Amino acid sequence: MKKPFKFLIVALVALVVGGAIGYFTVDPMLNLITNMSGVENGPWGTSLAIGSTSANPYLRAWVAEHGLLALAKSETIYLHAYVDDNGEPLLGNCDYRIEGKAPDTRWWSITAYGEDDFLIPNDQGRYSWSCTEIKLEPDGRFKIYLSKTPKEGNWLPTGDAKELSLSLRLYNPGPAYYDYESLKTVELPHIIKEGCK
Amino acid sequence: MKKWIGWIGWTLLAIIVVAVIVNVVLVLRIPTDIMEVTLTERFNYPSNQWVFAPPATAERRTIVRPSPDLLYSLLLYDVSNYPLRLTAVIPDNYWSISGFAMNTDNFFAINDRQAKSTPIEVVLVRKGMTYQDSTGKVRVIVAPTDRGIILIRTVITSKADLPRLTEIQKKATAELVGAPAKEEVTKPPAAGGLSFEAVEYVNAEYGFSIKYPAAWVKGQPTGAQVFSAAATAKVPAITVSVREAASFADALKIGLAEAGGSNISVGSETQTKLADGTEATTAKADWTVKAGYPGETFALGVQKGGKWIVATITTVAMLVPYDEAKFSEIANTLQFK
Repeated sequence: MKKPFKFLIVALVALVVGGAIGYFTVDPMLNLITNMSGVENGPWGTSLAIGSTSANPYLRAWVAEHGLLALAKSETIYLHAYVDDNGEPLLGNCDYRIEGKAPDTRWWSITAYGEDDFLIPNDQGRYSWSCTEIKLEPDGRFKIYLSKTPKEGNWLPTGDAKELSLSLRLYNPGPAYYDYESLKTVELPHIIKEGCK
Repeated sequence: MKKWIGWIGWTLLAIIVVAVIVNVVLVLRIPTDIMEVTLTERFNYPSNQWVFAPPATAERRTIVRPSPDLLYSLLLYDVSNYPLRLTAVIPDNYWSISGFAMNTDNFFAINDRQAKSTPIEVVLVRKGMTYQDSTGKVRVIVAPTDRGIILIRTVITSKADLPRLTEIQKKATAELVGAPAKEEVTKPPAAGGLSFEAVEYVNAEYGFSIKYPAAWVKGQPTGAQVFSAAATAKVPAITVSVREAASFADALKIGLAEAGGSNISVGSETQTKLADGTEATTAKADWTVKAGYPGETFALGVQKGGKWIVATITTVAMLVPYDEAKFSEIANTLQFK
């Protein structure tokens, strides 16, 4: 086979195969690099570069897809959970107990989302619990029940969602949340599976 | 044999290089592409005007992962020609104003504690633009891109407090500094004595015609609608439907429900006569439009041959205020042969 023809074949194969690989690896790469550049604490994860001008292009793209108009850490820290304390995916057919102490922050909330990243339709119109309305235990801690069926106390309905995720928003948080190292060890709410149907 | 191994190696290398280039180029484009779609398709509001959104619900699906505990005020800024002056009254709980460039970067945020006094005044300028502040109270922010989004977040402390917070939210203002005032030209009455430049829709099947503003764009009628058109901001919008129903109110309610509406409330009916002498009924309807926002509709119905021909002019007041005089004028251009 003549050389120019071989070059043409190589170029065509590279364009088609390489283009396809480049295209289909966008989302996996976004998740991989976002996870690598982030910090995890139990089931919760975040990146302190969310929203900031120092975000790398992959994190910036991930935020555009999953958290457009997110504030930088100077104002708000967003922690997301897609799994429970055992690392298993949050599912709509399971009941969970979210418990912990109130975060050291000016204002906080925990919101549930469906697999499409939107609020979950439910008859109660309840999508979240925030520090301004949550009922605390006598020891100052809180429990939120993430469940399709009604629960006593701070019930967060999951409607007909199949897969779930949670966002913990911390507005003007204390210094322990600003630093990657301390954020790995600061106490964040536990997400405990109580059972599945 | 060795030559073939060499060619395979070069091919694999070329595949990797192309894959990396394609991947990086696509990733770099994602933020700006999503912002462009957000500005032009998801929101599509006039620029440099505040839009006061009600609290997020499962039905309002504009931005992913919204916080249902916040009141959002949104403004699509465009400072390519003039600085933009923004003012807002700050409530007595968490509040912030923030800016997002076209690459989604949050380029500034000021919260209620940092604002120190209320109302706050912020002037947004583009790179290279100057703004002289003689008062020393104005915060001048340089926007990294000429277009983008400004967002005000207000914590909803309780449902009972929502009306008060909404009132405060709506006190925010926006104006382009130094832009020539909008021309207040007194236009001569349009043809036919109408206050607007009109075009006419004629329906031969049911023998009627109706006029609507020439700037509105015809849409695709759905269900029992035979005609629809809307302003470029999507509201106000006109529809004309033909349907069998027991009453005017029923015909109107069915039409609004078919459009995805809910919480439909039809006000008292008024009997009127069209210019051609046809008996007609009018009413105002308040409802929640498909996107979850409060809608207001002026409706006019005429019963012909056992069917109701209903013209509706609808707006979402937080985008374009309800203008009963104009909406009524449009609806009353309905005429039969």
